[in-house]
Amino acid sequence: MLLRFVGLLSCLFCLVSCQKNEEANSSKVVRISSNDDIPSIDPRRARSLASVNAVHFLFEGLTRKATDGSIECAACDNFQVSDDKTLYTFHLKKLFWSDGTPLSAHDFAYSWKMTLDPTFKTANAHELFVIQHGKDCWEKKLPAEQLGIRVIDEQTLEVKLEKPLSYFPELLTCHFFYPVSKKWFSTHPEAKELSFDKPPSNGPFKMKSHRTGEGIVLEKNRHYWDKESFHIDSVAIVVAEDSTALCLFEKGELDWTGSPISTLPPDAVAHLKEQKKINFCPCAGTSFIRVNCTKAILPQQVRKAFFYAIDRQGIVEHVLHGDHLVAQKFIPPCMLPNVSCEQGQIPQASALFEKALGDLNLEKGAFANLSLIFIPCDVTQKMAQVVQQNFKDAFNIDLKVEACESKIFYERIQKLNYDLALGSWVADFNDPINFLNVFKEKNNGTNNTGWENEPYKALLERSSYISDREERNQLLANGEKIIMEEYPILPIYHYTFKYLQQGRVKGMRLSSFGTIELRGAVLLQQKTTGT
Amino acid sequence: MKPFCRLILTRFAIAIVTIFCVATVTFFLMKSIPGDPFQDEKGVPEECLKHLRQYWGLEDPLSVQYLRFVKSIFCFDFGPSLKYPAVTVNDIIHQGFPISALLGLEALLIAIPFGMLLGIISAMNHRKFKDSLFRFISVLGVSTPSFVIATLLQFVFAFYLSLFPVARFGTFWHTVLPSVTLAIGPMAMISRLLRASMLDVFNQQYVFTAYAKGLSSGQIIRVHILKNAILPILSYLGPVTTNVLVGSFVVERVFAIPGLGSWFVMGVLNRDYPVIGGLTCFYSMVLITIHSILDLFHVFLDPRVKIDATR
Repeated sequence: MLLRFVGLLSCLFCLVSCQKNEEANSSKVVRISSNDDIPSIDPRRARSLASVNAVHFLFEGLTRKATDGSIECAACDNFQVSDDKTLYTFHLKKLFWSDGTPLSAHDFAYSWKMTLDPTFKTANAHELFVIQHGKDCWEKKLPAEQLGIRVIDEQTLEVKLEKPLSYFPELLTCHFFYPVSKKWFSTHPEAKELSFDKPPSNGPFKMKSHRTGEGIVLEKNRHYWDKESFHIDSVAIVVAEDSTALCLFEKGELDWTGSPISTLPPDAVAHLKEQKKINFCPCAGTSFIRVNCTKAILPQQVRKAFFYAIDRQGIVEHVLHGDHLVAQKFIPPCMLPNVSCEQGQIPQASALFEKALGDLNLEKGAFANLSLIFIPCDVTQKMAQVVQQNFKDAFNIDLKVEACESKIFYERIQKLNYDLALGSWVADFNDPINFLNVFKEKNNGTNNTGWENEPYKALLERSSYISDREERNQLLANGEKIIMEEYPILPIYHYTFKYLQQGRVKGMRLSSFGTIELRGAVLLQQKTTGT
Repeated sequence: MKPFCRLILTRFAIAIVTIFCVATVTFFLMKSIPGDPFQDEKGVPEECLKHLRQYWGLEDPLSVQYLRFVKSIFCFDFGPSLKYPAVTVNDIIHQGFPISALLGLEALLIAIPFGMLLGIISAMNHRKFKDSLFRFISVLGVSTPSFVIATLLQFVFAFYLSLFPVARFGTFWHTVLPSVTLAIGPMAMISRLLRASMLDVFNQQYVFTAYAKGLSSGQIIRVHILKNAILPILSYLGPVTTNVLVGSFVVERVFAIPGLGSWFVMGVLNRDYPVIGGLTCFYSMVLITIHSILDLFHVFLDPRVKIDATR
């Protein structure tokens, strides 16, 4: 009996383990940890940072970010903009997909049209409403032919925008503007989106293998036009829980762990800092508290008092081990520096609050049920406790802190069923508008505070017509000032990315938007050790 | 019809009804949890959410969704996951189950013989030092949560002593620590159960008779005691085998094993309805199958259980 069992077991083991281990030759693979599986490698559908990073390795848009952060042409050779700044004509390079088939303007047009096709399921459709009639076509008010995308010839693509958009080339670096192969979809009519089964890609890497729950392995795309800038043969995104990833890293089985697609275990950070192993990188992201502006007890004066009461320095020093930046404004300084907003000062909070109560004829008792909701994790839990204590000290209010499971949290903030809620925003592309648009309209899906301000909206509208960077930034800074006078949100800190990187990898970088850059990176052929 | 065939047919009919009940309860429970599967930290506009919900048929009346779900069970095709739309639930089961099942079988291979051994030694040395020692160990094993055992084993044997790989799946050595972690709980439980039931059997008259006949201890244990004492373990093995075969969330997370276990929890957290529904039905199918097999064993082992009685 026992013998039979052992036999069965060994047969099963052979069966399971005969699946090839694609990253066996680890000396040439860069292994990056992710704490979540990759939901999708379809650029039109990617949402999570893990997906966006995989898409970023696999695909490339018309423009890309140069190593100095500026925008340069990628899939296109050059482009012209019409005088009214709404018509862009892109002249494509002669490019090939990873399967050797030629890449044409049709692929870009197909990909974007599909995103705006109401029958195509994606949560990114609204990102392409900047294209003329984008929204109307998506809402089926206009036929798809009316969409402002025209293929002039195989190498020329014309895009008409709804209104001038000075940051359009910047926007084209985002994944939702990347192409997918039209030919592949015509030969796979049953496919609704790119599968993991080796779809053609046009970026520096192509798909090699995927196993659910384990991650993906990518290999170099020999058809990529700029392949000389990439010296790494293969990339693996390995799914591992945070502390497991740290163990694997310490054992030399991972080359990169931590931000952007996994987190370093908070308890290990202090120790790793002592050993000087952690790398830091500014992140274009801000953590803040959303205030439900539709509540009668939370008008501007009260929100301002709340903003003053929060001990940001304390949170950054004690909760976050001093690794992040205190935020007195919404937009991170790495994106829009030198904006002078009012600084919150704790000693004045109490007086502001008393004055607000007097002006508004409010009783302190009205705040008896005030609550702060958040998605529980080590950091948010402690942050909520600090804010609770701050409110007690400044206003003698007992703030209730309420941990909510993530999906319930999103539903509550979307339905404005909360008082205060911890939240955050990380930019997708390098323009302050990315932050300011979050609160442009009440119902845009990102606002969730019930706050809307006409001068603010007008100002953002105006900004898209201005192409001079300085002038535009000035205007957007004024927009930020409106937010920081109205306080629909109470900024707490600006994020900093923290990650570990093996010494054998040189030149691997992290952008402030959370994408890992492998251009120019090299793998030294040596035994792996920690940095 | 032979009673044996009738037994199998009855079992099969009961199994189908049970799975149907499980599916119904699961469906209405998962639909009653608040939260939208498509909402995320980046915020999706209301009209986009509506589009997505329409596409996936979540805006249809509940009865239509329910019928679609029942149909998917009978075709055993649960469709794509909502969070990971490039993979279907069938893919998840197909790729994850063999890995989880392998770890589970290894765990059983450790848990059953060692658990029984500990139980027998404990019972034979009733109220002596060995008994106390093994009882202490088994209480420890039953009461230590698996995340503690997993992290401890990982730290000591993989990280500190470098005897085994830290995590991930690949070679036989990768499976050792996870299966030991999985085995410890059931092993301790089996040893406790076997000890208790053996002590019961010890006081039966036929055991005294066997001793009086002059049989050796080994023979008595094998032929007279164990055969009778093993029955409670058989009923315990049903749920335990299912649990270890379909994988454990904690063990698979800690050891980064691409098995089935973590999907049960992730499915609920993501409100991934096809994953929740599909995996729950799959789990109940495995559970019922294993229970039926063990019931058959029971019939063979215990002559008091008549085939007719199970009708």
